[in-house]
Amino acid sequence: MARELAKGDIPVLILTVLAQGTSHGYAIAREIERQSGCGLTLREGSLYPALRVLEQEGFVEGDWEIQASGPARKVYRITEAGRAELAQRTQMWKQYADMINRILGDTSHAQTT
Amino acid sequence: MHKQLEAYLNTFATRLGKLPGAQRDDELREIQQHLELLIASHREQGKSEEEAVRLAISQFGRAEKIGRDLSEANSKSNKAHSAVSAVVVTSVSMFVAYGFFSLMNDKSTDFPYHESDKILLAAVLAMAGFSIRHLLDKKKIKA
Repeated sequence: MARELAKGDIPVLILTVLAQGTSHGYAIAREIERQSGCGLTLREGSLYPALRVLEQEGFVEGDWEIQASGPARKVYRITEAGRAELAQRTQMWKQYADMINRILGDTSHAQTT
Repeated sequence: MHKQLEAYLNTFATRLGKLPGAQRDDELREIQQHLELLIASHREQGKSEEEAVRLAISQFGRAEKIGRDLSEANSKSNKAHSAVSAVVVTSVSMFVAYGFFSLMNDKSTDFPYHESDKILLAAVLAMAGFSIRHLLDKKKIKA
């Protein structure tokens, strides 16, 4: 069953996708969908306010680029500061997931005893 | 352009009304391109044009909410940029005015002649310039 992404979780996923290569808004949405095995969905428009905030913080840069075919597109790339931020946010996510797992593990253990 | 898509983009345009023209146009162009790709993808899956537009809009989210979030995110950046530019422009204006008075006023009968008067007048002129620029910017955004 697909689960809708919380607004606060979008920036770290954008940084993750951009750490793998430059991309534009539509392609970022498709990549989040693909990498989550279609398990995570988002209101795709909410990518853009998140991208603006990441741009202001200096974690992402966006430029209109002429494409080999079709109209110019705004293409985003991660900055060095963005990579450092991603490493920090990934670490925090893992610690959070570990703590939740520990509690869930304890609960399931308590239920079986 | 499909009528429903046009109406949806118009809602965005209204929500982004506070942004400077070029910035608003860029936002709308990016949103429109994203929607057109979504529509094309639904069409490839065999949906009618009507259904493809409806699905794309639903997938993109509420225009009022996203438009407001986008406008707020851009305004923060514009305000920070304006504040830095205002400080730089005001300081340079004050320095230029002070330099002008120092070069031109070499007699004690000239005004301003004393250092304190020169600095004070340069500061007043720089602040007046800043206020006029601020008012013009506000008018430009409203237009």
